[in-house]
Amino acid sequence: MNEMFDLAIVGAGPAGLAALIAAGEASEQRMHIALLDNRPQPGGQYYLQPPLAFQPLAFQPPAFQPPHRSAVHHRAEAQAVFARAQAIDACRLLDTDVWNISPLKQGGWQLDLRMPDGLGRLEARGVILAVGAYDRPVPFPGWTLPGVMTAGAVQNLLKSQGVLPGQRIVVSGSGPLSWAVAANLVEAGAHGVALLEAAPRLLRRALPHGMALWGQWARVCEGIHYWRVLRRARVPICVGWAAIAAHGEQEVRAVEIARLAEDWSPLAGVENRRTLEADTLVVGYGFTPATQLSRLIGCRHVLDPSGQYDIPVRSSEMASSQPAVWIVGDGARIGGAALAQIEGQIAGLAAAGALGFLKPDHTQALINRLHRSLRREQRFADMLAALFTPRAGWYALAQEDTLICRCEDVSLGKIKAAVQSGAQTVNEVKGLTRAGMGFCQGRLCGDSVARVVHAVHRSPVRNRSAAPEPATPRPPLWPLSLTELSAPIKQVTPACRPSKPA
Amino acid sequence: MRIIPNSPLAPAARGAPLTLWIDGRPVTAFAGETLAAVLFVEGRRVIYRPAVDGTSTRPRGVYCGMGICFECLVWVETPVGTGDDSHLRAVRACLTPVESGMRIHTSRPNPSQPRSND
Repeated sequence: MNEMFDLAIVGAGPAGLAALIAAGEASEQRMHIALLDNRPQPGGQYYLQPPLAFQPLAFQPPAFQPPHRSAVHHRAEAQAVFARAQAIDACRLLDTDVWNISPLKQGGWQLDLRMPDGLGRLEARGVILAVGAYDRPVPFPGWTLPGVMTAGAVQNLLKSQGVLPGQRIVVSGSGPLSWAVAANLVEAGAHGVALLEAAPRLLRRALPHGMALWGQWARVCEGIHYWRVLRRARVPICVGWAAIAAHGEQEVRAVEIARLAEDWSPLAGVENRRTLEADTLVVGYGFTPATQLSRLIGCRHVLDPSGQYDIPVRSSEMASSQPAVWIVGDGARIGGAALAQIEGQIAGLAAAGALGFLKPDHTQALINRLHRSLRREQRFADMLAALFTPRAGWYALAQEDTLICRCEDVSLGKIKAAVQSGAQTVNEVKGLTRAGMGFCQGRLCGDSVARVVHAVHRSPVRNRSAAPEPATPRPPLWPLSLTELSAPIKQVTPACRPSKPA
Repeated sequence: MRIIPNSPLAPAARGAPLTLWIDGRPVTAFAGETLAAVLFVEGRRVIYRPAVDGTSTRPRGVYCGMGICFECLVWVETPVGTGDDSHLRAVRACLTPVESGMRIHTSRPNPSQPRSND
């Protein structure tokens, strides 16, 4: 059994790092932990780091003054988290994709990996999934044009690479991230930024939620900072408006915007439409949890109360329906980094307890204390979801010729035809049209296809009224090349030295 | 465009300068940058992907920017003599760091075309 890890943590963002720290610091004996992430550095999208080559010396003081208190706070927080995580003895496998997880006969799980130098695998008694989320894909006419990109993509370019995506930029989204991205674009030197906040009648709807802001002072300060940056730069801010189409031959040249009705459908009439000249359109309408791994290993899922996506069923200790699998953070339910960190701590402690590294009563006491802050963060997350979650009208932007599956060039018209000719499930549409068979494995088109299936059949599948079951994930979850498949597979063991090829 | 140095968002430092080839043209970049970042800096954000029917190409570009969507796939020439006969490797521009001497293509080069030599 010494070939086996005690715990594998998939994802080194806020949730995964919190789980690592909690499990590592609380354990009474040495626990063999593997920490895996597909990026070359830990931190995820929230503690986004510049590449290593941009940091000639470790812990070099920043060459500039961070622009505001919350940024200073954010950086200090990131450094503190990295320092505590670094102190935990764990096998760190970065730049590594987990493309399959399967149960072992003797208990525990096998993880199949793609590492920088080839394929690998490891075995672990328990698994914490902390894989995060990605920007929710919303198809609209022109969304495949170069220059249309997600808020997450722009954040990566700005904060990790120090590169501006364009000059005349329309930011269209809902929620705090698009405000932050617009302010960051201004601070980075973009000249023509316009911000569209899609949520209609935001202020009036926000008032009843005012109390959820109590105690969230750092967030309030950050919001005020962004607002001041945008005001100072005279950035037009249109609340209740959103981009409904991008135009251009080879890349974005113009963006069509519209005022939205209560159900988020674009209002007709010239007074509710404008066309803006722009070279870049940034879109961000919330996030979709990456549930491919949790669905692949057979964890039970239900539809989130917001009706937007599937979430794994979890106990109060973040345990999934599969043995020794805990799921935390935005990959389980969208709630942001603060909530993800608390969930990560709970799962880290629960895993350490369940695997025999902590006394059970001690574990429970620690977890109970965390549940109070969990509820506070959950209230804040619920407020954001109530205010900024897109409504049904928003998913009707695509026209017959708009591509839904970008990988395999499948239009809305083709998907509708497949459903009308009898396809009852997302899997059947996939078989008929190839939608979801491409490189992204349906991560971008899956929800859209499910909506078409539901709109035509209106039949509750799996006793759910809002959307049919997503396509079944199949390994490999990430495309592998034949060169990679033909090379020997390395076994990764707690000694963290890949053993001789098996 | 790289962010101007006096911006609060400018990186503290960049890596060492290096040269790579984009569609046959030499381009200066800095270690640590991704291919996607360099494509944006060079104003070459349009990637021509073969359509599924195989007869035409379609303009695409960086969409998700974090390795999910595969829309930013570009073709990298594999170095001569590595025993890799495939000649070209498709990589996600948003995740792949630049390397000195790298030759990348934003549209799929004709397979019969001879490999470019230094």
